[in-house]
Amino acid sequence: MTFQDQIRTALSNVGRRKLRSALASLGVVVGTLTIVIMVSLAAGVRQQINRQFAAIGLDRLTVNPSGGGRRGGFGPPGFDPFGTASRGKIITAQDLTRWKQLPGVIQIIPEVNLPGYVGLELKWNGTNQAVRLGGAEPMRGIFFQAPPEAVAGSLKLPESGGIALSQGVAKAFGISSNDFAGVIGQSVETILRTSRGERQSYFLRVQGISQERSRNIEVSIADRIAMKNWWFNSTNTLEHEGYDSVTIRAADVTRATTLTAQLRHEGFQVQSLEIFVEAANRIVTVITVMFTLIGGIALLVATIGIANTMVMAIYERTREIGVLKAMGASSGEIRRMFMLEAGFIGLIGGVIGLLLGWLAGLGLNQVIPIYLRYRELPVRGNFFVVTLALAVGVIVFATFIGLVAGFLPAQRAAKLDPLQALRHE
Amino acid sequence: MNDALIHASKLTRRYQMGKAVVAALSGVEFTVLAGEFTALVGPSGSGKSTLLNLIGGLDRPSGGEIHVNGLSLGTANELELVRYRRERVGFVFQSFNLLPMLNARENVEAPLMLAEIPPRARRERATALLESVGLAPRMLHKPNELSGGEKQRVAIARALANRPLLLLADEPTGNLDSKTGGAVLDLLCGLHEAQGLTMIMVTHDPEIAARASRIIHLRDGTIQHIETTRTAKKIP
Repeated sequence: MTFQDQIRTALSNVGRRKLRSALASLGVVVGTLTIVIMVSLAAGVRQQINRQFAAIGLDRLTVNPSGGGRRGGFGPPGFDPFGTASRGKIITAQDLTRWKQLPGVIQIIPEVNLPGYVGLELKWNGTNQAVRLGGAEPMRGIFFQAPPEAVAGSLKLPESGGIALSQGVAKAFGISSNDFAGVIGQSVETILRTSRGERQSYFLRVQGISQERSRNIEVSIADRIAMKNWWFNSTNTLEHEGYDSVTIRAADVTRATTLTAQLRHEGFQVQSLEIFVEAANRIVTVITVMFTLIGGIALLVATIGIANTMVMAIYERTREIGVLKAMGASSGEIRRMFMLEAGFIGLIGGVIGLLLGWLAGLGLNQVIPIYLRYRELPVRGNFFVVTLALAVGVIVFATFIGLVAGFLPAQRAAKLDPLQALRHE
Repeated sequence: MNDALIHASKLTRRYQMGKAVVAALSGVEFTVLAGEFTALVGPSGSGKSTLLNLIGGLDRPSGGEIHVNGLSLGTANELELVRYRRERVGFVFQSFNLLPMLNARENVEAPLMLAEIPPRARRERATALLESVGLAPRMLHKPNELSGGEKQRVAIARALANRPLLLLADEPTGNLDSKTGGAVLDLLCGLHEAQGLTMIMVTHDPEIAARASRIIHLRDGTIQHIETTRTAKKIP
């Protein structure tokens, strides 16, 4: 008997007792439905968690050069007249180029900072205002806070010659928010001043105005380096010190976690909140496993239903089995025929359960946002996500359950003595 | 075709009935030639059905040996026995034993499916067989829509599907009235004569047995005597 014929026979045998096959597969439907709903909910929740975490900055990580005590010189240990830490492993321009190629990296923002006590002024229209160079605090705009948004122009600065102002700075110069657009493209003088009175000017073009109310400016990276060189009276602080910090934006929270581990392995100090992500993912995993177990138990119970149906079917068809054996069917063929029959009951139950679970998820995905809007919760997106792996896995598992359930009854059918089977009434 | 198709020597079959051991057959010896029509007769419990089942490879001897077409059925392995039943033997039962969910043609196709004949060839062969037993118009009917005689014709067509060497019939007219029974018997005898089919039939009807070329009389598990009629060939 060819395998094709065995499948055809098994299918027609499933079809000949439709009600009974349907009832037998009902258990599988319930089990599969449970698994699909629970696991797709878990997948949806995982996506939600990742999205929420990304919104509060968990998709970003800050790379710092690895430290190595303080630069020696004079004064008590740990004191450094310049207030800069000596560095074990510095972040070079080559590192930046290399990181840009890493999978999952979507943005790299290098930072070069001036010491906090550096006097910085902005001169514009004849007035001077003291400002701070933004980005001096490594956590700014990194965690729990979305990056500042532009109220005029763009906050993306060119490699050199660009400046962005906070609206606090603009207001200090007496510019009302209506006139912000007029400021874009104008040149301002940024003055660096030492306590001994030395000063150095940089003329930079305004690119944008941010929503921030503090008096901050952002300056193109090349100009920052120039400022730092001037301050430390050096020509190549970048070569000696590298970048002060680099913020990397990853494609998603999971990528951020991987990148963190990789860059730490390379010897950099990396700050990220991957612990939170890991904990949340662990919780979701535990919940997923629990839910899957519940569905799995339902499926195990379903095996009893299928096995019972198969035992009944074999009892009823004992005489047919005898006839088939007399016609030259082997024990293996009889066994495969009944196992396939049980497998199909599992498969059909699995497909129906998957479809029902998928439809239920689609429906709930429509209903939940309505509720969330009503409660004014800022959560968007789907809560039930049926992945391909889930769909395939659950159908394979349901079929497997059917085969397992059919094994012992089929074995019994295969071992029937043809003579006794033929005498069966 | 004067060769011995079946040869049984000291053939014994014992059954365990509770604590007692019952000998259904003890020390049976006989030979059947190819192309012969042999009748097994005897009262119930004489062992004639047991003998037929041993010849058909549905049962195994407890002692002695039976050779059919060169195969020793007592020592053959399971696979050889399955192939033997599928390719060499056709069974016709008293109670027809058609597969109830299949129509007449599908019933005839079943042994062809087991023999892995492709579907189209299967259908053609089954149709031809049903035509030859006069059932072409009833081909797509299920067994419960057929009369007893029609069912037995389907069963005969099914038994012949894989062109067996040996047709085994266990009281094939036992469940039929005398008229249809006679027609079925005519059909079987016609096949035997037209195709040179070796046929062994269990019966307790002396009239039916009289149409055979050789009659084996059984009683209490032993052969009482073997009667040859005019048509019988001489056993070498």
